[in-house]
Amino acid sequence: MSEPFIRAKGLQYTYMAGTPLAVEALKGVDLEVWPGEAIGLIGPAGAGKSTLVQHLNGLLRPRARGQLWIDGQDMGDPRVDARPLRRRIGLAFQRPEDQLFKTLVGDDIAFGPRQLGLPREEVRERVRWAMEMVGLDFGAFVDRPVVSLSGGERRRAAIAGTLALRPSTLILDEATSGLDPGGRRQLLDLLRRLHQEEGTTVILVTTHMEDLVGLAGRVVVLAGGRTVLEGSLREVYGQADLLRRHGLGVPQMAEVGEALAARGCRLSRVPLTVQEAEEEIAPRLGVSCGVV
Amino acid sequence: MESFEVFRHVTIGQYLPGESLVHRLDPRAKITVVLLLIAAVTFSTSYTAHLALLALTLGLIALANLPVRYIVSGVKPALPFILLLALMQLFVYGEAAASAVRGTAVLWQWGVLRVTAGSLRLTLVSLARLLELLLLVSLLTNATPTTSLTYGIESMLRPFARLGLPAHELSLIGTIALRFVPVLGEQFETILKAQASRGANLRLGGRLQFIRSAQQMVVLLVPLFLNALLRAEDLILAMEARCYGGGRGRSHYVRLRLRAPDYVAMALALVFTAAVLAARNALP
Repeated sequence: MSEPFIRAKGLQYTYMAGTPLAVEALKGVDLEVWPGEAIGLIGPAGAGKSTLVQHLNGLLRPRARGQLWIDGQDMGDPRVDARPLRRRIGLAFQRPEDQLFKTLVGDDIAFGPRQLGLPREEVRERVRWAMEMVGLDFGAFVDRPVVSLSGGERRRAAIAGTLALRPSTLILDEATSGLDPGGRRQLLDLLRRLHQEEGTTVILVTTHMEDLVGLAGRVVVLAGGRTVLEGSLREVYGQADLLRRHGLGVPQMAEVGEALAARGCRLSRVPLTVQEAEEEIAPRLGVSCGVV
Repeated sequence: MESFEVFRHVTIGQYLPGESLVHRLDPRAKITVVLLLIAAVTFSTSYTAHLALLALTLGLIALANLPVRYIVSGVKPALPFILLLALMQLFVYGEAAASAVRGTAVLWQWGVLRVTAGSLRLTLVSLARLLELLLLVSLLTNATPTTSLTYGIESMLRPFARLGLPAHELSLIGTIALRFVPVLGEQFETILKAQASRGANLRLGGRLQFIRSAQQMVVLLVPLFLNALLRAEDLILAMEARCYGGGRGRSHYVRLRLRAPDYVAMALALVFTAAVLAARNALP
C-alpha cells in the first residue's frame, strides 16, 4: 500500500491559545488518509471535526504539540507554504454562508479558478462544469445574487466553488445538512462519481450515518477532541453502545438489526441499507428476496 | 505562516467572568469611575499625574484579576502606526507643542526636525494616555457583562428622558455595537479563511506595503459589510420575534442597587480625579 497522503499523530489545537478565552478543540487526533480513499469523519457537536478538517487544507497549522504531515510536508514547519496545498485540497465549509463572499454566484464560483490564473474561457468552463455537477442551472444561477439563494442553493453554490478548483482531495464539512432528501441523494451520488470515476480522495464530515453507506470505505469517530474509534462502516456501526455514549446514533437499519438481536433473532451481519436488511430478514420470514 | 485568529487581538468588549470586587460592583458605579478617570487621563499633561494614573489603573486591573498581558496584546496590531504617529509628533510638532504645552526648550535639532521639551512631553503623555484609555475601557468591558452595561447606561441616561433623550435606545445601540466587535472579528476571520481555502494569497504584503494591504483589505471589507448588514437584519427579526418594543414599560430581570462599595469606589475616583486635575499645572 502507498504512503498515507495525510498523517496526523497526537494532533492538538487550542483556539485563542495563551489568552483567558482559550478553548482546547483537539486534544490528540490520530488520522491517516491514503490517496484515492473515501473516509467518513463522524462525531458529536463540539468533537473537533471542523477544526480537524481546517488543518487538513492548511488553514490551521499544528502549533506546539502533535504532528501533521500532508503530502510529505510537515505542516508544523512555518516555512511550509500552505497555498499550493489548498488548491489541491478543496474544503467546503460547514456553513455555506461562510464561504460565499462574492455578490454574484458565478463570481464566487470563479474565485478559485481566477486565483489559479486560468484564462477567461477556462474559468467560465470550470464554473459551468462545477454548477452542473452540483445541479445548479448555469443560465439561471450564474448571475444571481448570492443573497437571493435558498439555503439548499447556497450549499450547492459553496460546493461548486470548491469543485471549480478541481481538487484531488475534497473535504466536505457537514455538506448534506440543509439539503432536502433529493438534493442530498444528488450530492452523495456526485461524491461517489468523483471518487470512483475520477479517483478523488473524499473526506466527508457528517452526523448523518446513512450518508456514508456506499461511499466511505472507512470511518473515523471523533469525540472530545480525540479519535475514539476507527474501522470499516460495519465495524464502527457494530459498536452501537460506544457511539451512543458519545452522543451519536447508528443508521436506522442497524437499529432494526439490533432490535431483532435483542429479541433473540441474530442476523449474520449489521445491516446498513434497506436492501441489506431485506436480504437478512426476508429469508427468516419465508419470503424470497426481490419477490413481494 | 498566516494566522487567521483575528479575534485574538480584539480584547475590548470581551467579558472575562470572575468573582472579584470589581466584577461585583454596580455597573453604574464602574461607568462613573471609568468616566472620571478618563477625564483625568484626558486633561492632565503632567508626568507625575500619568504615572499615578497608570499605577492606579494597573492596580484596579490586578484587583479585578484581569490578565494585563492579554489586555495590552489588543494594541499589538496597531503598534507600528502608533509608533509612527509618536515619532511624527516628537520630531515635527516641536514648535506648536512648545507653545501648547509647557516646555519651549529645544532639546535637539536637525534641519526641520526639532524636539522640544513640549513635544517630548506631548509624545510621552499621548502614549501614556493611549495605554491608560485602553486599560480603563478594558477594565470596564472585561469585568462587566454587556447586559449589565446596558442596564447601567440606560439607568444613568433615564433622567434625561424627560428632555426627550431616547435613553433606552441609546444604551441599546451602544451595547449592540460593543457586542458586535468580536462578532465582526469572527466574521472577518471566516472570510479570510474562505478566500484562503480557495487559493487566495493573503500574505498582506508585510506591514510596510500599505497600498497592497489596502487593496486586499477592500476585497475583505465588502463582504464583511454585506454580512454585517445581513446580520443586522437578522437581529431586527429576532428582536421583533420576541416582541421587543423599546424601553417604555419594560421590566428588568436584574434590579440595580448601589451598595456601600459602589459609593466608596465613586467617591475615591472623584477625589483622585479632582486632585489630579487641581494639581495638573503644579506637578512636574
